Amino acid sequence: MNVKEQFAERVEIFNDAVRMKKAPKRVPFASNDAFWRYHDLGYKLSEALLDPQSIENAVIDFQKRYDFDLLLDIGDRNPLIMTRSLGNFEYQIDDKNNTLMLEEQCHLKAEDYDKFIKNPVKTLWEEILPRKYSYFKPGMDLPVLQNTLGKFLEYDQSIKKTTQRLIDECGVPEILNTQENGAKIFPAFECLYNFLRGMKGLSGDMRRTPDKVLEFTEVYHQAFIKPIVDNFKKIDEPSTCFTAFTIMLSQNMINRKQFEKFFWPHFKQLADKIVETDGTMFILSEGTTSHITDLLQELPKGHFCFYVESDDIFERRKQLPNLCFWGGLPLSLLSRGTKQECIDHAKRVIDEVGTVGGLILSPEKFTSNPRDCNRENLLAVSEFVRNYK
Amino acid sequence: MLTEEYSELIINPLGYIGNTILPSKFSLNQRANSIENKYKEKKLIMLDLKILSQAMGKLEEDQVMELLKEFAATNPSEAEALDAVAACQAGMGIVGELFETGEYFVGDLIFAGELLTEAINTLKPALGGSGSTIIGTILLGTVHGDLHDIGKNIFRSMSEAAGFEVVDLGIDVAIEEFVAKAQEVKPQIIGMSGVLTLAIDSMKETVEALKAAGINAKIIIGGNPVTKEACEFVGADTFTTNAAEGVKICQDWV
Ligand code: B12
Repeated sequence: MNVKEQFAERVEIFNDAVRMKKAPKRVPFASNDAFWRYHDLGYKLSEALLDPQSIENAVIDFQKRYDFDLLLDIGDRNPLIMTRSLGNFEYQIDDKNNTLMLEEQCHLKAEDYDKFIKNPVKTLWEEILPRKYSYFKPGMDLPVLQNTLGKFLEYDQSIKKTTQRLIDECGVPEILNTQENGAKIFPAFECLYNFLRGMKGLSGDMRRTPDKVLEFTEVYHQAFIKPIVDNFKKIDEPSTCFTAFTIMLSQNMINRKQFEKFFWPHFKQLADKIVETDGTMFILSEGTTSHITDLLQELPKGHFCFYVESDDIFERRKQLPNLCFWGGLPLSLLSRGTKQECIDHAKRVIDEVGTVGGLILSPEKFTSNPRDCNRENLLAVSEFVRNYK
Repeated sequence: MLTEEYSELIINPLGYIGNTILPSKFSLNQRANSIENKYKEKKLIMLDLKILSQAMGKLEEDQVMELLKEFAATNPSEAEALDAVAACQAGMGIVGELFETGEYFVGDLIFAGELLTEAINTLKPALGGSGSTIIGTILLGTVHGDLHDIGKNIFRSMSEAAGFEVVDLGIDVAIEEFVAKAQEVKPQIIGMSGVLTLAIDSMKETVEALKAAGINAKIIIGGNPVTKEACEFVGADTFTTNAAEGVKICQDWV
């Protein structure tokens, strides 16, 4: 198969997997890597993560070694080069453990809700960004600004180039259709949880000032999310793995009632738009979704693929026949099992979870530490999946 | 000084109201009534302990703080303040139970820990720092390489609610720091937390160093990737992925 044919096949098997109407030619196999690839390819993490060319080369070489159908991270998840150029050093690199050190982020104070609700853009620029980025203040030196702009452009171009090289050299499609559907959707409540308040702050806010949290999410949604979602188009000829991408990490922390109140309404709007435009969406959701099963059951079949991390994927298949799943390969097996054990497990997951579509096989947690994965095992699974029809 | 039932409530609030570990034999209401009856018998009711426990269980911060502030203003004796502590601890048990039934989630446990600290701080002046409630010392930390601390903090709040003094070393704790602090505070128990897969190796290295330094505290490890095999590999005494169960184990140890 040449690269173009590989590309077409991949687009097709992703589409079939999510649509769940017929079995794809074979089950798609995706990488779920954070930093393990740098170890596997012989890079020192602190050198690689600060050099766009190394990031790009590592993605391409990793792909060439394992022949994935999609890579979840292509160096865009932790863009240290950009954030550091503006004075944010929250992410520290740990070479010994081959991982990033990142603490919970809290850049919005409880008393800032009102300001944000009144004027989100102003508060973001004048209050929040200067807290997150230490160089970003009035009177900021021109050379610092020039350097930052330069780094941002360089990084952006490097990610674009990586994406294009994956398509041209490896026949690997983009994860979502950025051309038609803009960007990865970061829902308002997720933004509060991940970047602005952290779970500690948010768990108090949801009880002390629930109305403000709700108002915040509404204002944020209207200002930053709705314009993107409103623009979603029906895509007649798919050319990417999914048409859209969103994250849902807070469900792993909040109770069902809170989820229904603070997260679900905006998610529903997004989901409805996906259905209306007959699109497909990947939902990056860590941890468990077991407490919101009935809500997930409401989603129409054939549009949504959820990352299954801690829940039992076999049980989830019985409970959620309407959803495609991403995951299935435990790191304990990939790192310490034998090749045969890995293949046997992959086969079982494909047979029980992905018979009529409904499965993107992938490591169930991000690989990072050298001991998270074993090269021989990953190669064996990759080869098995490609040939198992 | 403490009666038997009373000390049971202080020492073992989670077990006392039979939350996660002991399957519940009677409903929350009945249970709250029974706590109230015990107190009534002993004529200890200065503030409504049942209402305090329930408010704590429902995580009604305003109500809890109002009750306690009013109570603190009456210049309570140390024994009375200890009753209030016990009622808050019983409330934490209700929180634990609601977590097990799925009504509460991780975020609620984080909030409960914060509320408990706030409540105990209000009672501190009346408690007079006698330390009569401390049943043991736990040295706790997230092992090196790992920064995740949500689970560790939940275990800390629950242990404190059960009467332990917890010396928390924080996150990404270096091996030497564990060893030095263990030599200094001589804890009965050392708790290690971690959720990255690499945490298992860090735990092993830490346990080895502690043993080499001749520290013979009991060691318990917790966090999502911890399993029986991991526990054997690490060389810890036991493991759990459930903070309430961890507290129960620690109670059995002291
Ligand atoms: C929240 C979270 C974060 C938060 C952490 C916030 C904080 N203050 O802790 C943030 C966003 C900062 C974060 C950062 C990162 N994370 Co993270 N994170 C998680 C997540 C979603 C949940 C972890 C959690 O808090 N669970 C809830 C708590 C309550 O559970 P728990 O820890 O198991 O605790 C319970 C019990 O185990 C027990 N317990 C816990 N400790 C102890 C101790 C004792 C003594 C006892 C008795 C009991 C006990 O009590 C608790 C209640 O019962 C997990 C996914 C997951 N499902 O685990 C990923 C996860 C752990 N993260 C992961 C990664 C990769 C990262 C990053 C590297 C990401 C990045 N690229 O930047 C960074 C860096 C982390 C680092 N070096 O440590 C991966 C790890 C993969 C791996 N191979 O190990 C995971 C598994 C996600 C995934 N899908 O792959 N993360």
